[in-house]
Amino acid sequence: MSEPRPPPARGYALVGVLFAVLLFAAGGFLWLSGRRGDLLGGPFRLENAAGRTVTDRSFRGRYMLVYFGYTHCPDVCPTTLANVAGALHELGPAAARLAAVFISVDPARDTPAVIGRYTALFSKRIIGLTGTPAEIARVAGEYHIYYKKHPTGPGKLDYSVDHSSLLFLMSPTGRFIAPITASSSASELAAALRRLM
Amino acid sequence: MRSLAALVLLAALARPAAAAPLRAEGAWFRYLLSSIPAGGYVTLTNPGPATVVLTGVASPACGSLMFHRTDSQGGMERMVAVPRIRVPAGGRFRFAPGGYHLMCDAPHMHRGQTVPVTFRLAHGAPLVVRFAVRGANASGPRASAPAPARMKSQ
Repeated sequence: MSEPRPPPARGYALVGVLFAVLLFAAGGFLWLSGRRGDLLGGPFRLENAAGRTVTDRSFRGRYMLVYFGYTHCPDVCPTTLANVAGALHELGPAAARLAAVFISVDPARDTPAVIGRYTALFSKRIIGLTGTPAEIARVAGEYHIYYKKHPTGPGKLDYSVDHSSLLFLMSPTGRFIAPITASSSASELAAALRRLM
Repeated sequence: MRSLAALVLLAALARPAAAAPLRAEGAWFRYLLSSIPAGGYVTLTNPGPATVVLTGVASPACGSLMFHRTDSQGGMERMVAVPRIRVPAGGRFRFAPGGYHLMCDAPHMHRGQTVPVTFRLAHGAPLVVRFAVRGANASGPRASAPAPARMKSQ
């Protein structure tokens, strides 16, 4: 036996309430996302693997997935980049709407040539960027990225870099959309990007 | 270098008179470029009745090799050197992406190869484990790794 149907008036009221809730949620989301757009990110001027100048405006018209790290990072950075490469693959044609950008927080060791060879190991579609220490400090500041050299030995080049590890999704107009946890698997990352793009 | 050679020789001579105290599974390096460190991962199982303490690690395929941990706090990642590792009795210890790993500085290896890694134990003969050398997008020792790389949640 099926349950008796609710009288039509109650049904309409329920639809009305649901609609109101949806409208409120959508409004709240738009308001919040509008506000959030100004919280993170901003103009930058960096160098790509070919040594050419690249700015935030170079990526307008595409979503931008931003990750900060360094090539001498043996664990978290390559794991994250492998998952970004996997997500780009899973996204298929939709990946063309996205620029995946890896920005070095170790400009002393990560020259344009080094960062280019490094990102190409994961995916030709991951764009490696580096810059002068001042340029890196500026873009890291805009994305609220903390990074600090941490000596590991006596040599000048014996250090690791403590750094914030988060992915940021920016809109095609350069506004902040959402952070994505860097420990996401390739599938989780692809699902998050599908939802947000 | 001489101590390393001696260690490798010792490991080669140390035929398992008794059963090996640890079992190693899923050993692999993520090799990127010779100029940057390679991260190594393995799961060590201790079937015995006593904790096994690892006091160091070395490999002829690495300029230096160390136990490391990625310390993750509030989105901040920090590399910490770890002097010793304890594999609990009847338990296991996982070196896995996003957590404990072997940091191989100045790696000389190539993809598709396997390279020996010698773990020094506080008590008993060293343990030699062969690590598969994989590339950037690998998530395990074999090409058809079943699960996608997922960092250990901290």
